[in-house]
Amino acid sequence: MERPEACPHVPSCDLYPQFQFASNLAMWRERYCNGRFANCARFKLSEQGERPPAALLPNGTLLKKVK
Amino acid sequence: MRYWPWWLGGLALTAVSLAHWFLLRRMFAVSSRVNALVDDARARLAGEAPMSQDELEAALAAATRDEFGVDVQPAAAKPPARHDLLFVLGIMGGGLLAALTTGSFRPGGISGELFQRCFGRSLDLQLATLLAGGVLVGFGTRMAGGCTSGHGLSGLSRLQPGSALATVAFFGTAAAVSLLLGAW
Repeated sequence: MERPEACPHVPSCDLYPQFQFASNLAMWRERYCNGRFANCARFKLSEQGERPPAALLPNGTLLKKVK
Repeated sequence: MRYWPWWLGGLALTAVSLAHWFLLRRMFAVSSRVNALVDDARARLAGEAPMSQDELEAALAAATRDEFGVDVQPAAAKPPARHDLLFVLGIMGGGLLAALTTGSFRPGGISGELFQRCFGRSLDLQLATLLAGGVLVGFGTRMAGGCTSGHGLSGLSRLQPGSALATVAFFGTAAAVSLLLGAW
């Protein structure tokens, strides 16, 4: 089976490493980073030459501190 | 100027890249680490405290619950605290170690013979040249979406065509400029 293409911005992505630490966070990686990265909000910003905010999630929402 | 032999440099870069991956689960890329450090400093100066690793994990767990409807299990491993700062300090420490072990360490010296021949012996001019070079490197790095380590080590090892092109541009230009300055 052919491996899906990975996002070219993985080496510079601030959020990608976080998806490696806890097993359930790999869902983000599978949904966005490996294959359908064109849907990722971080990918879209990077393609425009902008640096995505560290708190921007692939689905376009911003991470918020949990109180 | 004396350097480590090429094979020792290659082994050291491999070790650093692998350690970086296993400790941080992150591809080795110097410019993105420096960017993260600058972003962190900018946020602190603006009075916005960046999220700690624990706060980030809690926020990611909540976002994952919203997106996928699952609870996130606690991570078995975590990146070391202040790893961006440690990384940049490590680059300086590594350079010092290499200079000491090859006997080429000179306190106060910021440039080699070729540099002085091309840009003179004035400290002000040398510092201005280094600053201008740094700005140009930073500009090129942003334009190329990565630096020599990100594209040359991490990108090439992932067989990324864009990284291959960027690496050819980096090293082709460096070799051409070096030959040009050497002939000057």
